[in-house]
Amino acid sequence: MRNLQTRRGAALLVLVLASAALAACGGGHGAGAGAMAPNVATGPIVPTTGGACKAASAARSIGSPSSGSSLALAHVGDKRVAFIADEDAKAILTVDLDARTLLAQTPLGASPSQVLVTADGRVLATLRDKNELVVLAASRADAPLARVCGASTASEPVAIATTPDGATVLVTSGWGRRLTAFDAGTLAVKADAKVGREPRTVVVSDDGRTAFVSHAVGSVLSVVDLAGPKHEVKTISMRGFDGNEIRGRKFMLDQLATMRRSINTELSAAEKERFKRIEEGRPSCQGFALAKSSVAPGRIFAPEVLVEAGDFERRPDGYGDQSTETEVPAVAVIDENAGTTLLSSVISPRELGWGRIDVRDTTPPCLLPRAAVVDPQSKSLLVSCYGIDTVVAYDATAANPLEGERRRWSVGSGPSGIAVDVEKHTGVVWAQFDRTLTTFALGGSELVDDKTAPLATQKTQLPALEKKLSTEYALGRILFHAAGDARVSADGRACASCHPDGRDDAITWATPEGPRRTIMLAGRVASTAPYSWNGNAKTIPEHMGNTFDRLSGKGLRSVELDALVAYVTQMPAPQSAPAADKAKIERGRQIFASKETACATCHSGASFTDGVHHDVGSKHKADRSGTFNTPSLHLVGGTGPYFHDGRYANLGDLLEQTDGTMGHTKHLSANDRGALEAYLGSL
Amino acid sequence: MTSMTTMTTMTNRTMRRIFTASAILAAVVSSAPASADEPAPPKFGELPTGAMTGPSRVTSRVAHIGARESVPGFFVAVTKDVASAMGRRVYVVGDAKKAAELEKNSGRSSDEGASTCFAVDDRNHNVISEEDKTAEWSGVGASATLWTKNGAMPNSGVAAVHMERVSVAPDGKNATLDWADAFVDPSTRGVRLIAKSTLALEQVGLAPGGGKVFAGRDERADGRRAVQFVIVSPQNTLSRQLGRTFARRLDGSVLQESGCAHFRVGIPVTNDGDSALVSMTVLLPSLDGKPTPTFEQVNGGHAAARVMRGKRGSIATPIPSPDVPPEPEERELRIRDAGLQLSVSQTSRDKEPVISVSHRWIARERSQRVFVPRNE
Repeated sequence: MRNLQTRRGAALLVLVLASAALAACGGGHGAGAGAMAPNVATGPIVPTTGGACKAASAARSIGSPSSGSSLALAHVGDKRVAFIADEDAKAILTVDLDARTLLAQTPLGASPSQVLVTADGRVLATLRDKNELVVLAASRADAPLARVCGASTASEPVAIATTPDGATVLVTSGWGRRLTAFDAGTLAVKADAKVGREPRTVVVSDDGRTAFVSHAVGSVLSVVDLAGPKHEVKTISMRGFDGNEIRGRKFMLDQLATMRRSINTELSAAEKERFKRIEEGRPSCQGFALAKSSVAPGRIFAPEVLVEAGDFERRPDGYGDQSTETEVPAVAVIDENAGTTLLSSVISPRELGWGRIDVRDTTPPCLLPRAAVVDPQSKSLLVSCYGIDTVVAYDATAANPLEGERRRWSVGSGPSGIAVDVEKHTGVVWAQFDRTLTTFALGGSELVDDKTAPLATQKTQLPALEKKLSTEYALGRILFHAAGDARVSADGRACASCHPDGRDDAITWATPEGPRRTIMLAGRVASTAPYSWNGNAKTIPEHMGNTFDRLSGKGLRSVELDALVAYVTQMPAPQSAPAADKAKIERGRQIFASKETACATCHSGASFTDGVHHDVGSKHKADRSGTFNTPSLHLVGGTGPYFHDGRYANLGDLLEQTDGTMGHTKHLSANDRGALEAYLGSL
Repeated sequence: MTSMTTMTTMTNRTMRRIFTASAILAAVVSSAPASADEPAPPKFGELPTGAMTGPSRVTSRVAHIGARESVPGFFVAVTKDVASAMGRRVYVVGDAKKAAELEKNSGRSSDEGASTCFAVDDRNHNVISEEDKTAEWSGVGASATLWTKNGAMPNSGVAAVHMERVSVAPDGKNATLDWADAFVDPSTRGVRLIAKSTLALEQVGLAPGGGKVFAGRDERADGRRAVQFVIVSPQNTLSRQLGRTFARRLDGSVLQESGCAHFRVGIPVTNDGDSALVSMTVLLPSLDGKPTPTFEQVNGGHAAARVMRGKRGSIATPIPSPDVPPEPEERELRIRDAGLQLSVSQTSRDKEPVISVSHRWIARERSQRVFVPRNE
């Protein structure tokens, strides 16, 4: 069956090597301790020793994880603490793990995404909306962390990891599509690799020579060579397969072979198309988490969701076919040495007449996996899931961990981070939406009788934010991630299923109107009416109503709908890094605005849309209509593939192939086309 | 230091339940879920090795077998029914007593949990597909059914039959799977041996419902390798009686248990991985403090209930009589379906395949009404 999986070849991307001149934190990308913006420094600036970013720190990691999360466990003095990256408080919280009390708070002036305690006790944090990696030091458990130094990153730093020798710190940047390697001692950039869209978690191979990067969208996992001079990037397909389809296909091919007929002459075009889809596999999404452990050597676990976007030709009445589960969870197992997935881990055996016989089954699928860690004692993979606010434990030795689910714990709302307290054999979960810390005994692998020995959890509510979120925004965020909520969809999909982190899933769905690409929401919803590719909704609530209808959701009450609208419209846009080549972008702006290209004719105004329908010759054979609402170009550079049916993989292809039907670009030189592309990427 | 609110999810009511139920846990040891002291699966290389066969080994066909030919463990029963258009139905079972019972009762048998189990090669030998060439014995059950030669059914007549039997060693840690393949002629009852062997097994885990999971390495002459997982559940348990056992493979195919005391699932050893999920029913401890009834009590209770209904007729209140047993007590049992995950996988880092056995609930708890005899 292995040959069924598309093993994508080495898509080599040229990396930008770090400048050798970056001798110390603060040079080039880096912004050393002295360059630290004063409004983000809260604790004292500690003197550095040796390397420009080395400093004494009293923290000692519990369990020595090499990848970050939104919480990290450590000893500080005689206290056992959890450092929590609280994105709403824009601070790192220090919580006493045993007393469950807040000991200290370290304001950062920006939203931290992950924290990690290094082997030498320093605390690393990524500031997502400030494009910065900061290094902090602990003196006492009840004192704020002190800033040691910081370094600039590409746009939207998310995850952190360290190499096994502790010499290198790796940071992924979601919007910036980078994996950057920093010298752990100086924060000088050692390597900077361009990866695919929306990178999230990074883990490092045991030999420290390879980094594996998950992607929230795009159906791939990036494999970055850290050791070679070019730091080549390859991708592993994370697509999945339906067990029944594979079996059905095998059976049919067997029959045809037996009958000694040629497949090419016997299969209709539709059958060939169907077989092709089976061969390619289903796209995947929600690749937020990765985990690895020495108890399952050579295996990297990648929770994700496999998507069946439907057959365009059938024009289903919703998003995807009614007859197939549109989204199913999976836990892909990556063969670390081979750089492939175990096919057995990305096959979804369809629940035909079993497993869900009991329609009251209380185990909703994990459709929004967000964090993962391996418990070495029980050899279980723990995955925290948004929407259902649950931690699921899977057998980490199983060929298909999803089949080896062991138990579940109910945790707080929005469980963004998870860690294992190996000293007490408990799981610790930080839930951002309700700001709770949940702990629970991990136990063994035995079945648990819910009524005689229920799995107990201990939930601790942290103090309210000094600057509270608006109720609408807070409620809207929960509703946006509500998986398994019949008000939103009949099949369990949440808004965040197709819009992970408010972005788009990079998938083209079969809809009643024809194929439709999901559109990014974060930072680009307001002021772009009318909505949808057809522009058939004048307001956001109207468009949401249409969407719930297509998802067969029962719909929200008006107050809830208002909250959801508030969240969607206030979702921050990714913080772009400063443009590298301003002159080129300016040249692109001029080309964009020129009469020759005529781009600005339709993409006009502050939101780059005239809000009107146009026929640009893009009608797909399955489309009902050939006219489409002009999409906003805001943030267009990070949202490929392009057009309503995703026909163009990148902006370059789009500019080249739409000449004459959507503006004019044929006359542009390669440099000018590059400038136009750079300008679009800056919007 | 700032104060925070801490709460636990266990309510007082739950705690009371735990207290009550913990007192009776010991009473349902035989049907308790797999426990914490479950043994770690042995490594692949430590498993005993042998070889099984599939129907593909049967390449030649036999037209007739003399009535005097026989193979130990194969008992052929022919019912006294009049032959239908499909021919006469013939059963192959594992002991003479059951064969006689089948012959007497026109193919009906009350026996459940047969220790010797059978499967028949039902492939169409005129059209052997690629899939057939690597097929395994499927539908292993308490008996195999054959039909006498009939023009309407070209595959009827002599057929290859697979027999297997599991014996658990006294220490409970090891077992053997004895198997034999033979041609059976339904017309003459003659049986001719094709091959037989034994696969040694070692315990690799516990099964939900009090059973054990054994496994052995199946190394075929043609190079194919598999791990044969064999689940042996205690005989005559209520959970067996109340539930059903079947396995679903990754490709969606399903293996059904059919009255056999053991359930065998072969997982191929590949360069990747493969797995199956076995659905089993677990009897949970009672919450009312009463001991969980035994298999014998429930069957006795149901028999009494049947007698009651038969004796009562239309009379609402039976007149006490030595012929009428005391009315059985109605009880409610807690049962729940669990899934047993069995898999074999190998990454390029693994020196040998990794065996995995784990379990989870796959449905919510439900209740089952039963009758048990009242204490005199």
